[in-house]
Formats: sequence, C-alpha cells, structure tokens
Amino acid sequence: MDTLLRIDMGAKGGPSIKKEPVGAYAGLGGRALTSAIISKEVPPLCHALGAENKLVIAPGLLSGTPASQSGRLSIGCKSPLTGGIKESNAGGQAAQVLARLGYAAIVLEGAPAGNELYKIVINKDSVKITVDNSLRLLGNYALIDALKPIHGDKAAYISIGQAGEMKLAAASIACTDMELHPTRHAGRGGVGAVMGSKGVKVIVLDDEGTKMREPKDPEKFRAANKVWVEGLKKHPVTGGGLPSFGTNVLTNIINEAGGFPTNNFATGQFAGASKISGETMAALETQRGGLATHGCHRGCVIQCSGIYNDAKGNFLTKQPEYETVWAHGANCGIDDLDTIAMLDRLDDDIGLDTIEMGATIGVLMHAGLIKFGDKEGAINLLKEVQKGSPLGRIVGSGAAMAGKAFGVERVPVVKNQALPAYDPRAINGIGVTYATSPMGADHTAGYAIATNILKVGGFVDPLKSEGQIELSRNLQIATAAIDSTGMCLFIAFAVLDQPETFQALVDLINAFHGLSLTGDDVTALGKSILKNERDFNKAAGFTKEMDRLPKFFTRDALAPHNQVFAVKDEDLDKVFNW
Amino acid sequence: MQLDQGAPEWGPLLNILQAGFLVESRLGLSVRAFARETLGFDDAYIEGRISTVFLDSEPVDDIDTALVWEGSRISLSAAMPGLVGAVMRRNSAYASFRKGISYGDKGTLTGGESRSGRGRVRVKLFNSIMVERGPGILGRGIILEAAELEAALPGAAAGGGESPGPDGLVELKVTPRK
Ligand code: SF4
Repeated sequence: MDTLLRIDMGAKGGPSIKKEPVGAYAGLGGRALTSAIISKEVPPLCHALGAENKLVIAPGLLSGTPASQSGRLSIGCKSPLTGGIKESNAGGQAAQVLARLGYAAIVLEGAPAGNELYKIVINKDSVKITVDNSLRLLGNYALIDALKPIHGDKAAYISIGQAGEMKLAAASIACTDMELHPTRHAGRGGVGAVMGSKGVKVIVLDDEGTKMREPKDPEKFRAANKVWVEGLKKHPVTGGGLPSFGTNVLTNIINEAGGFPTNNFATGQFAGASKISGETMAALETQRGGLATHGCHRGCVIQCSGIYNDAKGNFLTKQPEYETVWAHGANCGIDDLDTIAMLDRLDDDIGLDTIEMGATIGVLMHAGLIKFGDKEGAINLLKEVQKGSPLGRIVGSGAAMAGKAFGVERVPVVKNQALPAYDPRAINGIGVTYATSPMGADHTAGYAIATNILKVGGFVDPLKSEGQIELSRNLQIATAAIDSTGMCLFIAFAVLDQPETFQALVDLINAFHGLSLTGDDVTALGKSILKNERDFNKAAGFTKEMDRLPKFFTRDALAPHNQVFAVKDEDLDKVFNW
Repeated sequence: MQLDQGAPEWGPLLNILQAGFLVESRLGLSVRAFARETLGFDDAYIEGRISTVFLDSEPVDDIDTALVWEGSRISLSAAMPGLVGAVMRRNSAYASFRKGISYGDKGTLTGGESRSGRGRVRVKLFNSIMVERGPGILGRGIILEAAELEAALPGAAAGGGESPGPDGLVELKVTPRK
C-alpha cells in the first residue's frame, strides 16, 4: 500500500502507466488521500469533465487487512454535480482487493483524444489497458456478465453504466459485491461521469497470488481485532437492529418523528411508511428465499445488507438501503417495495445515484410530468436515462437540473446535490451538516459520532446535549477521519456507546501501521481533510452563501410539527471556526 | 376474534403492529407506567431495550413525565442506527439536533380531552420490540379497524364469522398454536 498507480489516459500514443511511491501522501488512506491529491493536484477552476480533473480511487488505511468492516473504497475528484471537491465511498470487494495488490490509490489523469472505451486489468504482476468498444453502453449487470468468463469470479470490478459513459452529473461508479453483482456504488456527486470522461469503462482487480496485508505488530493487531469484533457484536444496534432489518429499519422511526420527506418534501410523514419499512422488507425477503442479513464485502460482521428477490424468487437487487427506500418511496409517493427494488436495480444497472434519482423524480412529479405515486412512470423515467433520450439526460443530471428544466422552485439541493432522507425542518441539526458540508447535502458527512473521538478516555455525559453547531462540526471532523480508515460508518454506534470499542479501533490502526496515534491525532486528521476540501471549494468559487439550505426550508413549515429550519446564517458560518 | 397461529405465520401478523393498533388503557399514565401496566413489559425490558419512544410524533426523553391520554399515539423502538437514529434515542447526547420537535419543546401537553378513567390509545411497535413483544401483545388482544385487519390478513375476519362493531373496530386475540 505504498504505491500510487497513475494512469494518464491522455498520453500521446495511448494511455501510459506510472507507478510511484506515495511520497508526501504517506500515512493517508481513503478520503484523506483522495482529498489531499485532488486539492494539491487538480486546478479548482478546471472543468470537472476535462483533462485536468483526476479520479482518485483509494482503499482505506485498514482495507485489505483482517480488520472487520474495513472494506470501504473512497473515490475522489472535482464533482461535475457540485463543482466542488468530492469524496464518494462504496462497499463491495474492491477496496480489499486493491489494498492487497499494494496500491494506496489508482489515479486516473488526462483524457483520451478519441472516443475509445478502455478496460484496465490489474493483477499482482501487471497493469494492462486495452481498448474494448464491445462494452459500449452496456449496463453494469450486462458488463459484469460479459467480463466474468474472461476474468473469473474472484476478481473485483469497478465500473460505470450508461450514465457514466454519457457523463451525466448523477452517474455513479459501481463496485461488485461478494456475489459479483454490481450493487455497491460510490453514488454521490457524479463520480461516474468523471470516470466516463477518462474513457474508462471498467477496472478489473485480480488479487490472485497476493496475501492479506501484514500488520507491523501482529499480536497487538489480533488482540485489538478481537475486542473490536466483540464490541460490534455485543452492541444492540450493530449486533441486532442493523443485521435483522438493515438500514431501512429507520423508515418507521424517521416517519414517526415527522422527518420523512414525502412527495418532494411537501410533508414529513408518509401514509405508506409501514408498507415499505425495514420490518416489512425483511419479512418479504425471507419469505421469497432472499436474505435479510448479509454483508456487502467479506469481513463484515455487522451485515446490514440483504438480498431482495422478485415475486418468483429470482434475484432482483441487493436489499435497498434506507436512503433508497425513502428516495424512490416516500419522496415519490410510492408505497410498493417491488417498485422501489426495481428502481434500485435500474439505478445500479445504469449507474446512477439512488438519492439523486429519487429527488429528481420527486421534482418531476412536483412539476406534473407524472403523478406522485406513479410506479410505472418512475420506472420509465429511469429507462429514459438508459436510452439516453433528451429527457433521460435531464433526469440523469440530477434534481437541480430537472428543477431548472421544468421550472420548479421546491428543489431539495445544497451545492446542487440532493438532500437525503431526513427533513432538516424536523431535524434542524442535520440541516446544519447538509448546509455546510463541503460535499453538498450529505447525510454521511456528519454521520459518525465525533464527541467521543474528540474526548478519548473521557466520554461525554450522554445527558448533556451539545449545541447543533458544535455537534455538526465535531461530527464532520470525525466522519472525515473515519472515512480515511476504510471503516464502514456503521461502526460509529458501537464506538459511541462502548469506550473499549473505540479504543480497539485506534489500537487496530496503531498496531497495523506501527503508529501511536491518539484521539488528538485523529481529530487533527479530520480537520486537515476538511480544510483541504474547503480550501479547494473556495478556490473553485464557493462562498459562504453556498453553505445554505434552499429558501423553502426556512419559509414553508413542515407537518406534522409545523417547524421550519431555524438555524441562523451567522451560526452556520461558525461551523468551521475551530 | 380469536386466532390460533402456528409459528411460521407470525410474520404478517407481527407486521400489523408496526402500522399501529388500539389498546384499552387507564389514561393519564406515564409512558413507563403504560408500558408496564397496559403492555405488560417489565422494568428491565423498558430500561434495557426500549431506547426510542415517540408520543404523538414527539421524541421522548423522560418516560416518567410524558403522559398518555385518550387518542395518544405511542411508538416504541429499540436503539436505532445512523446519526439520526442516535439523535432520536431517549436522553441522547445529540438531542439538540431535534430541538423544536422533542416532547415538551412546544410547551403544551399533547393528547385529547379525557385525562382520567379508561380509554383507547394507539400503539406502534417497531423492529426488535415488535418481534420480541409482538406475540405477547397479540395474546393480550388488540383492537383494529376492520379494513386494517382485512389488509393484513385478507379474509380472516369473514372466515372467522366476525363482523366489526358499530365503530368499525374488531378485536383480535392470537394464541400460539400448540
Ligand atoms: S455494515 Fe453494511 S455497509 Fe457496512 S460493511 Fe457491512 S454490509 Fe457493508
């Protein structure tokens, strides 16, 4: 993991490969590494689809090790959706395999002069880049089916569907899961369009003949991993709620709290919530011979995912996540799990961000193009993207674009990126993070539980609430740090409640890399990541006025609580004062 | 209506509980007393398992001061994932994120007119609580609208020769089949 693999797609005579030591980027992984490279090497004012942008694909610091939950992959670039810096991350097998191949990151640079479509195959001995125009405009599922007979079912695949090839701003990058389905996506911010602009359809990672990465202090590492896994297993959320019902267990809760945006953020409760909840979905999955408890990559002990079969018992898609169920369900007035699962399948196949697509379809329903609750209509809109029709290209470019094209004011975006599944009028605190995250509206930006990371050895009094601004700041710092480890963010709950589990995480990093990090170092890392990202955005033309929610959140009260987003602008401007 | 239910068929039955049902209860009870007296939960379960409580959509921190009235809707859940899941927990360190919607924030007591005697309260049981305590609650008996029962168990009421009362409600009691 001490090598950067740079591939210049625009080199004279065809793509060129350069392997170099990580150098100044040593010690960084995941989001810390992607954001460091982008902020240092990409001109902030460049066009996101131009040759000057770079696509950085980086496993986390602990990826490829036996540490449980360590298989998240970070993908960074200048975003064609937000115009700012982007880190989007995904599960699946790719991070583990890439780390075992010894790469800290793959950096795709330049842009090919012609219109060729490339396949990159990386194994322990070589990196091969070939033109393969037979893959053109294949969906991710058909692509993997075409490649499996050639590269086998042990490889991990990172790919784009039609949306990425068309360079649409909501295009995602797919990673294959344990079953070789292209179901795990770096969804947010249009990273797939940047991969498309580099002319790369797929990266095949084959780790045959490689070994698990060796810790510097194997004994300490083993001991820390034992405490770590025990901590995850014994915690009621990571050991119980998540495995049994998946992340969609939140549907009933957020709906009950009145913060479940319904019909394009018109109201905070959805009458059909219990029909699409995690409880209902888990029962249906089991009844149809799918799986309600499953991991997205090997080495996950929490297993928040599952397998969703159709009514005939055939695989349709992975268990749709809470955010997807919300986006394609309540936000579009759709209370039918089979329709939501089909939309999820289409998103994965075409290579689209499910959150952005749900928000976009909601905006188009609001505009009257189709009615709220129109299941067929929603499916057809995604098929328009697949076809590349003019309407499809508008849909695939996200909610802000659709709002402009169809003259809708109520467009739920920050920095052009769609808000996820929590209405900031009911949950004001999450609105602070949506408004100020350098990523655009992003629920994962402040997902992790920072307070404890900031106060190692002195956990906060759970009865004493921090203010929303301080809390959002701390959450964003900690999330940035966790995003650099390769750890799935769901570890945050166990880390929150169990000091020994948090300590085990720090011990894992230290034992693996021979370091002696403290909580302060973790905080400093999180801050430096955010600083890099904000500096990039500033140079790209972002101002504090862009750290705001759309006007309707402060103007139109949301039922049932009849609340608006009430955090003042001057308070939002304090989030990054540290 | 009385149903004898074999174990494999519990799934759809339990799912009735997340959509909400009515129970007869003494009114004016605290959430804790309601969970004990009306739902039959013990203290260890209430403390250890029920970490997320909503009363009429308002997240509750103190289950001893939040009171249940005629027409109240009380929802019970285990600890939930995600930042917002943590925010919704009772006495969450992140409660400031839900300022404005928490129980008591609006300064008025929720609930209907009747503050004493007995009445009907709507209950929703989510996730692990639904699975762990659903069979017991169904054994004690719940009240549903006829249409809700029909949607969950098509034909059950008609098959059982059951017709709804004048208020359109039916009582459902389920015992595990031996
Ligand atoms: S908990 Fe879920 S998202 Fe995290 S690694 Fe496991 S399956 Fe993937």
